Amino acid sequence: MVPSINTRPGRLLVHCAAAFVVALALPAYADNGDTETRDDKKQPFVIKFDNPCTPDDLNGEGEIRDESRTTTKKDGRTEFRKRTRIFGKPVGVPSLAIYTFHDDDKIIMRSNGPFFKFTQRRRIQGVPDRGIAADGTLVAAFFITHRQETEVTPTKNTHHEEPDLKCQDRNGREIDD
Amino acid sequence: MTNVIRALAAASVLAAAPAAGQTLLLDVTTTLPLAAALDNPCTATPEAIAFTGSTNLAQRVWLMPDGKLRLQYAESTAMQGQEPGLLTSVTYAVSGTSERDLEFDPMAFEILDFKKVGRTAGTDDNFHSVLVLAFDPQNLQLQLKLEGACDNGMP
Repeated sequence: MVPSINTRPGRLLVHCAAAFVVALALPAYADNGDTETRDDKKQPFVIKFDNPCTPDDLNGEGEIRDESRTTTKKDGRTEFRKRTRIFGKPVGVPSLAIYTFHDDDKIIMRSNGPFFKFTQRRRIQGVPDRGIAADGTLVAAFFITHRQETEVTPTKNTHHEEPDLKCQDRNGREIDD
Repeated sequence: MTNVIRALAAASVLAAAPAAGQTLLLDVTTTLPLAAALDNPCTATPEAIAFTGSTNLAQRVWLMPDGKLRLQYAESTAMQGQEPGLLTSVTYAVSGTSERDLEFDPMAFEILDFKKVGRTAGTDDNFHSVLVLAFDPQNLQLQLKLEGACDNGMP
């Protein structure tokens, strides 16, 4: 099948699995008196997605890996560091336009209180292996908006993952909406 | 540099289309001067490296229907540094960009963006400048300050 921006008009199927994880760890005391809680789990969250730029209903899979550290400073402030890596690729579906996506992002936040909660959105562009499909049409851009909720306390942090898929043309206009 | 921030804004902040029901509270694009004396904490000897530069900042704040705030920004920072009083010609340079799209209950917090410090001579180490973007729900506009670090911000 030749993917193009017109292959699936008026239809956007999104198959995604929301993932929850709660990281619990015993706090440790650093040399400088700060209290530190680490979550270095590498266990990936598996997500499955439909590339909305292709006619296939479900043809992608990916992983989200989070590593985080919460530090309670002696002065009462909380510093939260998190690295999020997202990988995605097609699964076994022959397609002329193969999309992959990859993102490696870190966020460091600091607050005066011991607890805080935030939601982060990242916009990640899929990378096609060809810019032009076999029929000469331009391959549309494939974007994932990754929505991640994080709640930080001195002893745990909670993530809620929610990928949201968009197919857009080269001008950023949404297709199939 | 203006083109950089425009491109950043167009590519990221502005591309994140607002959902229905959001109320725009603040929309600013500005260039903010930076000046600070930083010690390189990777070295044993205390230093006072004088950094000067600027940050181009595009920022939007939205009030969400549920009462939360949504902060979107894209920044591009460039700085040069030199240790005053020394006869050496070692200069330091920092440049980098970052962007965020965050939603949260109204509260004060800081976002720390670590940027590698390069130098024209000497041993390379893990010296990073930290651009601290402080958000206060009372005035909404991000306030900038600088810190030094001997790590790259990884957890």
